[in-house]
Amino acid sequence: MNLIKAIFLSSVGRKYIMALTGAAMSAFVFVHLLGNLQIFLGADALNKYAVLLHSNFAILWGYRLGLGTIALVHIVVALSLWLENRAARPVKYVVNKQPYTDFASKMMVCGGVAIFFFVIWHIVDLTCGLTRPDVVNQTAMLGDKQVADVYHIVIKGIGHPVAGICYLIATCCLALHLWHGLESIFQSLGLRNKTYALYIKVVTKAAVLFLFAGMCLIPLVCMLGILK
Amino acid sequence: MSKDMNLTLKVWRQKDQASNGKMETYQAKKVSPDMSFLEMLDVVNEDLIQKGQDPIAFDSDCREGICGTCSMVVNGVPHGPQRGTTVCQLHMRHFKDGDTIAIEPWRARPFPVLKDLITNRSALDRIIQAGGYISVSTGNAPAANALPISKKASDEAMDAAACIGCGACVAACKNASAMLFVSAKVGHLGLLPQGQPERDKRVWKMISQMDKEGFGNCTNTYACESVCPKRVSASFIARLNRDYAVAVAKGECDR
Ligand code: HEM
Ligand code: SF4
Ligand code: FES
Repeated sequence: MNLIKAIFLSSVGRKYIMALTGAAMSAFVFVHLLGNLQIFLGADALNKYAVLLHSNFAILWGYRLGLGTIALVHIVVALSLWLENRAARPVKYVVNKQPYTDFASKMMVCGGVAIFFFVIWHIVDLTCGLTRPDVVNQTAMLGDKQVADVYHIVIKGIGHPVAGICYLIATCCLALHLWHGLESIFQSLGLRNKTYALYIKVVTKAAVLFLFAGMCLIPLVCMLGILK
Repeated sequence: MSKDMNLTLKVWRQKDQASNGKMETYQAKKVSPDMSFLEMLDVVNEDLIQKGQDPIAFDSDCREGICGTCSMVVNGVPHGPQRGTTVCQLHMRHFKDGDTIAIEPWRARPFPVLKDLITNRSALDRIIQAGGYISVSTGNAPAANALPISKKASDEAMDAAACIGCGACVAACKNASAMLFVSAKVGHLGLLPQGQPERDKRVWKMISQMDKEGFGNCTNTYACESVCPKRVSASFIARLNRDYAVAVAKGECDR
């Protein structure tokens, strides 16, 4: 019981939870991006990758439920910390400038909530195909098999200007969240000291810039009609 | 001799813990750039006393940056604009003639305002009482080099020991977290051989007390190290996080 309390109810314990769930979701996001960048290898490459992802029912649902749980824990713990943090300063400063605190760290909760709504729409729209069935129900031939034409689903689905702009905005929110978050993981888990601090900063910020560029590129090429 | 300045002060005035406070405006005339910030307030207070008004209450003791008593937020920044200095060591040369300066008390639920700019910071004392000590058998002072300590460890322990317990880290943090203070105390003792026997217990007890006092949770903004008058580094917070994990893993929470 005390162990549960030490991890799930203490201030420091909940930082580990934020860091571990954040790290797991970040790992997913990077793999997701690398997978999606195969769109530049052409229709067959992306469609084949999609078949691979759906090939094992147990793995697919294991990963979906696992990631869903991780996201839920991240959000619930984030909100509990946020409520306590607000309560810890009941009277605000008249000159309320939060000195030396960067924009990214001030935006963690707002940006996180924006990402949450985006992800819900992203899943309902493209994974479940509830909002635009005509886009999602396209098929193509891969060798002699008929498969979902993910290549054209993406180009049409994300290439729609309104959808594309939503992807760009969500990418900004995610990049900002990780601008603070990726570096933060090391601090929260106690894996940072004066010797490593600069390396951690450079590597994590570079990773976020790569993610940002990659995630902006796909909606842009779809919207501008560069990929057809 | 540089020229004297005239300043407008907006100061938080609050009669006692139970009353509501508000910002009041005062003129500080003929302020010498060589004065410290607190000397400037002393002059304003003398003027108020002569007029039969209640002087502005603020905490101070050593006035040389070593005791951690002085505590005020100047234009939104704890201890004011000069980094690495307490407000008692802040000199008026950092301001310009005609400036308006807002002065407020530390703001955090565990630091209730007692009067004007004075807050009750005994929450920090209770955290120290929970585990910020070492237990030694009394007797003669041991021989000076009986316990070898590496230069690196002693330097680092000294960096942490520089914490004067002022609470500016809490005041600056957007979450009112006391992690920099606690990490300095835990780091200071945890780096030295004398601190080892109680190392796990200390982290566990001090974090538990910190949480009980109602401080917020650290979100790694590092505002604390930027305002800390002793420049305690936030890498001590990483060390604290690591020590807490080890203490919990060893079952300290059930002892
Ligand atoms: C879905 C809604 C989300 C919410 C409400 C949310 C909220 C938060 C909050 C409040 C924090 C701690 C704030 C701080 O340390 O300043 C945080 C940290 C973090 N989040 Fe999120 N987040 C969300 C989604 C995500 C996603 C999708 C990812 C990754 C792809 C992510 C990755 C991270 C990382 C890496 C951290 C840093 C952990 C640490 O401080 O050690 N978050 N999040
Ligand atoms: S860590 Fe720095 S700011 Fe915090 S109490 Fe100690 S001296 Fe003051
Ligand atoms: S009065 Fe002692 S540190 Fe300022």
